[in-house]
Amino acid sequence: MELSDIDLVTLAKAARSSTAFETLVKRHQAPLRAFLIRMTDDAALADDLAQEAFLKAYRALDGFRGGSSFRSWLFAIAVREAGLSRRKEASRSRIDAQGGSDADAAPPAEFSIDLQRALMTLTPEERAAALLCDAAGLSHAEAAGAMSAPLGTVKTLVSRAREKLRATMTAEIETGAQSAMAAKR
Amino acid sequence: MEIELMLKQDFAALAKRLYADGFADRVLRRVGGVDRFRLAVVGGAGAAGAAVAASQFETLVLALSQSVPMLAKLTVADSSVALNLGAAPILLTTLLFALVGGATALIVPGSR
Repeated sequence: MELSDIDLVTLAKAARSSTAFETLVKRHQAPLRAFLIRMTDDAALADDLAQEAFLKAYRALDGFRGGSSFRSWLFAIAVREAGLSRRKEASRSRIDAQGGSDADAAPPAEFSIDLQRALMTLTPEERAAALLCDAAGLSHAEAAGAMSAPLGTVKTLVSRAREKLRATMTAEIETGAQSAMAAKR
Repeated sequence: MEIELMLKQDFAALAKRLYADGFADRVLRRVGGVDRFRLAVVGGAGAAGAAVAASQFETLVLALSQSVPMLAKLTVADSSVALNLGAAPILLTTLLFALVGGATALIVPGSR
């Protein structure tokens, strides 16, 4: 019989069983990394953030009281880590910009929008909400817990993200069709 | 295709690819490192504490003998058997140290 997350957390806490935590890591690492890859658009950074999230979860395991699901708690740590990394990156970019570098100019003309690129047009909050609810399959309440945001805000973010994604994807399809027709002529 | 479905399918395909690589092992090695570091810190602190406590053993025994002199002379006598409890201050000090050690051991598992 497969143990539930809560059982495994209890085992990891009470018996300090690394096997129990190992099972939790193996169970949740792929969805967590997939979420972070889509959040950051950088696989290496996503792996670093996921690793940090697991280590923080391990250290803070005694503080997990089971008020939410383990998955939602773990994703909350990952969302915080991603936010922290984004802020660090932003401040680094500002310093680079002050240095007079113009290497990060406008995106290339052949800016092709696939799903990942469409996701990157959303705000980080919209992206997190859409990925947590629509991609990772968390409930709105779980996503609200993971994002430390009110339930209503998460619902609004998800619906706004869907609208934006739909518009971006539609625009891309139309642009693609026009380019194809122009090429035929 | 619906956006929700596209996201779900993309996410499932991506996650499926990620299950098989060695990421979990890398994380677990780092978790093992955290445990080893904690053990070293707790062990080091324990050894230092024990050394400090041991250096005070004689002083404590002396203090106990002086504060309750009857402990050192205590004899439980019967018609045929006489039990000398002259070593009582040493026993009490040892007991005190064991108590402190036990209390520390109780706290340690919670200090993740």
